[in-house]
Amino acid sequence: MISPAQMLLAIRKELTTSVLPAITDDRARSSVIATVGILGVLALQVREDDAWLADSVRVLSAGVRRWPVEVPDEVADVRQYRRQLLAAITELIRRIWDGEADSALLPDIRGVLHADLELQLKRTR
Amino acid sequence: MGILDAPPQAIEERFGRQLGRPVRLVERKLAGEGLSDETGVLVLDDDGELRKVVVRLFRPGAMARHEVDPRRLHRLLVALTATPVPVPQPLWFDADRSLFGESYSVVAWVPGIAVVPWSPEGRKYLAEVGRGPIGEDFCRILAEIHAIDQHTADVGFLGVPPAGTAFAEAEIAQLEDYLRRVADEPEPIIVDGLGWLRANVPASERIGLVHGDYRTGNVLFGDDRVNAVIDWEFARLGDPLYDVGWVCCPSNRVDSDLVCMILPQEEFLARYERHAGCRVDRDALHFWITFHQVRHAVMWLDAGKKVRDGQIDDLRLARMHYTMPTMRAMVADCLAYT
Repeated sequence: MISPAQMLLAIRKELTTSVLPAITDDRARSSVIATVGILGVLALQVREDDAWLADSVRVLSAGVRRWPVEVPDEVADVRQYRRQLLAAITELIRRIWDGEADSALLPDIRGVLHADLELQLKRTR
Repeated sequence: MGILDAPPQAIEERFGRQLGRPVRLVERKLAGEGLSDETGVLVLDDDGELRKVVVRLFRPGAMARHEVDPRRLHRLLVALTATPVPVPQPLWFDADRSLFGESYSVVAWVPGIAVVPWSPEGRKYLAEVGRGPIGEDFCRILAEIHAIDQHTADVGFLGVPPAGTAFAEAEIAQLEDYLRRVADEPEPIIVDGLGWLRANVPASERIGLVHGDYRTGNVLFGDDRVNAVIDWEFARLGDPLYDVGWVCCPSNRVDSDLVCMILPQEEFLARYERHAGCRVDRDALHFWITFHQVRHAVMWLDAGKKVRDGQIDDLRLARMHYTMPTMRAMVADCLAYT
């Protein structure tokens, strides 16, 4: 995962090294210089918004409990727990396509993944 | 170290040696189209005549680099000059990294408009020219590419896949391996996509030259025709539907009704079928569309990983990382998730 601070600093660097040298208009240059300064401050203050993970974990764990997979133990780190749930689902999908698990589960699994995907998409729109 | 960093005298010495006569470097600038390789346009004074060439610098860390062999790319362009397919004239390939820091190839500059298809002005331009002879050229040239094989041109060095399902199966295997290398998190939707692909492999009805990235962003447009097809680095011999599927892929149209922003899908297919002289099997087409959607999602993961690890600092690749949910959704749509 790219952290928000890492990304803000990358944008700042791009503005400084690629954009600013190409701008000749004084007003535009001063705006870019101000932006660079603001991004530097924000990089020290910004952090990943993990609030959505609780909903994601709720959706995924409800599904996992219905399926023939080893349900991972819940851990305090929600991001880590979500990763474990996704790993369990991924493994089940592999087994289905390898003919080792019931393919009739696939619509339910896809429904759960679709619900999780909606949560991901909400963060980008 | 890059195209803009090399001393002018060193460029003049090396280029003069390749061209067999002295040249003087008049101007150089970077082109904006390349995503991970560096592309530059150099103007040379060649015995009193100004000559434009395009230099492509191959970055080892570029996306899907495992599919690209720069030397092979140059050899392919040489072979294509003997075919009806319009390509930039290849000049030389230089594996020596001492000049620009990486190996590079040089082709003659071709006049024409390079379009960013998903930009507002690009979409408007493509929708307009698609209704005229350029739309027809886009379909005809693709059929001409697919008519090329090891019997009609010197392209056998690309490797000829056996008939049947071997080509598609090899592509899926390569994609599975690619995912293993770039995924930091479990990707159940992409793995579902790969499983679906394995279960639905179509037999190739034809084997021909495949461009590998045929879309309106890799075409140079003249006033009323396509001047050149560029960016052949993913070319191979294989199932032509590989390219047809890529043209029709949702990620090449986003929310537009037009494939590659240029033509309605059925119109594109009808024109392609007429030029190719064969029907496009719609089930096989859906397979290749799904394949590309999965491949694209894996490439997006690769882009995000490279930015995160500091291998590449291109913001356009960073942007891909942030659109991963959309890429997953496109795969899910291909698999008819509800």
